[in-house]
Amino acid sequence: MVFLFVILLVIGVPIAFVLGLVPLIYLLFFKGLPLIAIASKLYGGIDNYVLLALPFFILAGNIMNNTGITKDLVNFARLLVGRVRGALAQVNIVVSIAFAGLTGAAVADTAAIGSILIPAMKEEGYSAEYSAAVTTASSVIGPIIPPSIIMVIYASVTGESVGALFMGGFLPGLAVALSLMILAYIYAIRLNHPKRTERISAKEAFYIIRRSVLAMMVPLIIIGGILTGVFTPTEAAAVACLYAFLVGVFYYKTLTVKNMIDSLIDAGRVSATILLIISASQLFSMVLTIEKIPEHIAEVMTSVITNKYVFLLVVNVLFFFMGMVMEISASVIMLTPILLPLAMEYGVHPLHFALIMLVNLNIGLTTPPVGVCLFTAVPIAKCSVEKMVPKVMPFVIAEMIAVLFITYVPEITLFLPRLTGFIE
Amino acid sequence: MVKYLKQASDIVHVVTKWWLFVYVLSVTILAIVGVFFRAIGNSLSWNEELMRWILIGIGYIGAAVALKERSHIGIEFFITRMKPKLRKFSIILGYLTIVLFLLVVLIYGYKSADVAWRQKGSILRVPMYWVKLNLPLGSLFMLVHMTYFTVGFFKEKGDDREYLLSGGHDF
Amino acid sequence: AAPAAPAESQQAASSEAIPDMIDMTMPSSTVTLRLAYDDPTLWPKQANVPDPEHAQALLFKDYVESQTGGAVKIDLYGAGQLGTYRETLEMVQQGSMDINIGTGSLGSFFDPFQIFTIPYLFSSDDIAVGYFERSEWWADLMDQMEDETGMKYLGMGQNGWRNFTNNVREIRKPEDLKGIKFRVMQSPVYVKMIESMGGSAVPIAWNELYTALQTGVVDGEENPISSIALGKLQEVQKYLTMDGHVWSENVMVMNAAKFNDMPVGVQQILVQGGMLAARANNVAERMVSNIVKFEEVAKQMQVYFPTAGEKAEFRKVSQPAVIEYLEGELGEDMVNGFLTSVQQMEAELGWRR
Ligand code: NA
Ligand code: NA
Repeated sequence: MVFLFVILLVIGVPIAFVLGLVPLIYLLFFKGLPLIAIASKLYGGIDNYVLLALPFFILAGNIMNNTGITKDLVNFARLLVGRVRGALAQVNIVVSIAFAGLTGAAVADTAAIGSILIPAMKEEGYSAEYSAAVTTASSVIGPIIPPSIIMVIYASVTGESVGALFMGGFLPGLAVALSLMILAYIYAIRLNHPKRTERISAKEAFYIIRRSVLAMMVPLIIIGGILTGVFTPTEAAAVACLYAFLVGVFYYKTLTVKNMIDSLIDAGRVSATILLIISASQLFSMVLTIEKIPEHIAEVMTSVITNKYVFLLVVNVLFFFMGMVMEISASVIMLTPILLPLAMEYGVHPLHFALIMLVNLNIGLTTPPVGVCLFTAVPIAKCSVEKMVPKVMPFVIAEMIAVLFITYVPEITLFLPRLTGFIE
Repeated sequence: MVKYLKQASDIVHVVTKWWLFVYVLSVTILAIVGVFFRAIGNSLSWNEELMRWILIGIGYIGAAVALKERSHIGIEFFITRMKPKLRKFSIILGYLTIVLFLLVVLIYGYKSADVAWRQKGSILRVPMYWVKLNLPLGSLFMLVHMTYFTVGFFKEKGDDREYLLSGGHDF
Repeated sequence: AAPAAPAESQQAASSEAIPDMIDMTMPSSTVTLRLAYDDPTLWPKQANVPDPEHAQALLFKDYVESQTGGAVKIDLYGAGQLGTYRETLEMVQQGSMDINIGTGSLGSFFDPFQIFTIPYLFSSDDIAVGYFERSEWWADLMDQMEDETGMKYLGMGQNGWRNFTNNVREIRKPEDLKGIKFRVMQSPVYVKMIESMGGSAVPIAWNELYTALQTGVVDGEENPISSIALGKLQEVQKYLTMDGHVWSENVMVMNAAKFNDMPVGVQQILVQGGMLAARANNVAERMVSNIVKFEEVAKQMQVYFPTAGEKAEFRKVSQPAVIEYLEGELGEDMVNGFLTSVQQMEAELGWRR
């Protein structure tokens, strides 16, 4: 099966078809399961309201890029932090932190931030691959800083408090962000990333600020609307589309019927490439589940452990590889019943264990072969996977270093929940 | 022969593009309308379900549009570096496996839709047949493109790298 | 159409010749059946009481495996690991899954199944339990379901009585729902019920509910205690009213073709196992909803128990709206037949004298 998977990828079969074909051939030749299960699962895999964030945010990004809103936002960011080398990469990470506080799913973050900031970064002179890599890596922060759908799922599988998980996620989320910012800074220095050299006069600055007021309303509407409960993060994207459309028609006067039609079709097409991957990866996860593969691996790996520190290291390795191939909630559902009791026997605090698991599994969203965020950023940046993967891997390593910190310094996770009385 | 296949593929492409346009436009409007009605204290109970249904359509009709424009995500690093003979073989092997997958989704997707005649939506009591039909339809459209690609590939004298599926240029 | 009168079907059965001995033939090689359900599988390692569907599944597995001497093996896939309830129902119908347990979606596959979600219908647990175990009207309806959907009914556990929670005010009478946005399950019956009492019904996915309640996209929701605790909704909700408006189900169904392929003895064991499993579910549900989780939930919410008079008010406002809707969907005869059969059960159990 692994062999088949690799061969199909090497001969250039698109990843969505590879993810569908491998379980198909497995079911056909090894299992005798009715193939109709494939149709049910492909359908069910994307029958998910949260995924509507994909077309909405991509559309919002397209409209904003067409109107000139994006350009104004970039000018505003340049004005503020442009003198710092590689500033827009840092802005990308900081915006991811802010956005993490609003949305619960990582793909929503990739779509939202990517569709606005990737074109902006490209315009500033960053490569498409690097822009996509930073966006992908930083969207991992999304489900770690609350709210977080995967934490709600974790809570329902384990009985852990959602509030405690949310509180416990803040600092680990910031730790991941910090690791990314450090790496982006090192890159900026070593690779001479863009920085503003010219001085901006007061008059120009005033002009930029005045021009960007309407553009700045986009993030304000999104943030304000979500925090006040007027709309959900998914709906926020659709409202942003409406706003960008109105501003584009009445203020910038740059929108044409032709580019609106193109924006809509493009949003649909890009979403579809991602949806097809998600759809097929659910099928792939189902086969791993039926075969109880994660359970078997977890049992073998944990059978040789002698102490807490080795245990934590081994589970981290396990999470990393599971995150790479398996859909995240499927991993949580399969692995926690086996590993959480073991962790508690070794004296690991259950909340600490939860965050190790969730942060680590989320990193899998950014890695091949089944990284949903990775495959969301690629079509938005219009770059190729094989050129983008080498750019994202250093960020993955930075994130793994953050995971090790989170693993061996329990206070990063436990400090805030303790302070707020969720745990003793 | 190739000419007619190309024509069929082009027609499918135009149709699916407009189809996709309608889906994306309507789902966006539905979301905004939903927010509006909830804000004035008169929530719509049915629009969440309808939006999820359209999302399925975006996925599968959009997949056909993406296939024609060759924007599905794949790895071309190895195949572009292969010797021409091996590449030719690889492309055909890849095409055949994709066709196999699409055929299964077409046949079983249709069977699954057909069973769903009696299955209704949760709020909108419409047969799920119509929603599930998006899968086999999308597959059918993709098969039309794949047939044209396959036949065209055998007749092609020029650069076979044009026939990679993640190249991003239009056929 | 209403199911055939019970007397006829009994006659049909007794007219066939009765064999001398019970046929306990077992399948020649081990048969493995896959059973999927949504509830978490924490017990026994991490929880002191099993969640209801988990209890149902465990008992079913134990009963069937032991009674068939291992000839039939049950593989459990809990915690929704193979997909949502609706997905696994579809798989059961199509034969790629054998059995499943769940709440709230079977009505989409067989319209009449939603009939018992009439609000304030069952006045007591024992009426509901007695009804689903013994009512002939219901048994006939389930036979009709098998004919139309290819899914065999194997028993009805209870998911729990559903109650209102919200963040706006304590709910004591129907008018208190006015202007409150309630998240409801994907079902027209719940929409009608909430709207009839003046509330506003918003369908929101279960996974997004916690955050939606936290940010105020919706103000309230309605669920059994076990589900409130499962979603930790007490952390984001202030008021709980124990009105028990709907009795909701954990129904077990099996692919009918697979069931009918089994030898008679095995079929009997499956049916018995299904009934006993439902009872185990009911005990677990009571432990969870009335004792263990109730304490957990009540610590963080202000709990109100409506009086019998107040419940009658709720019933008076909401029941006609839902009944009218169901009559439109299923026909008056069916709704009347159903209500009569519930009354018969009430009389049989001594609630009507
Ligand atoms: Na978040
Ligand atoms: Na349930």
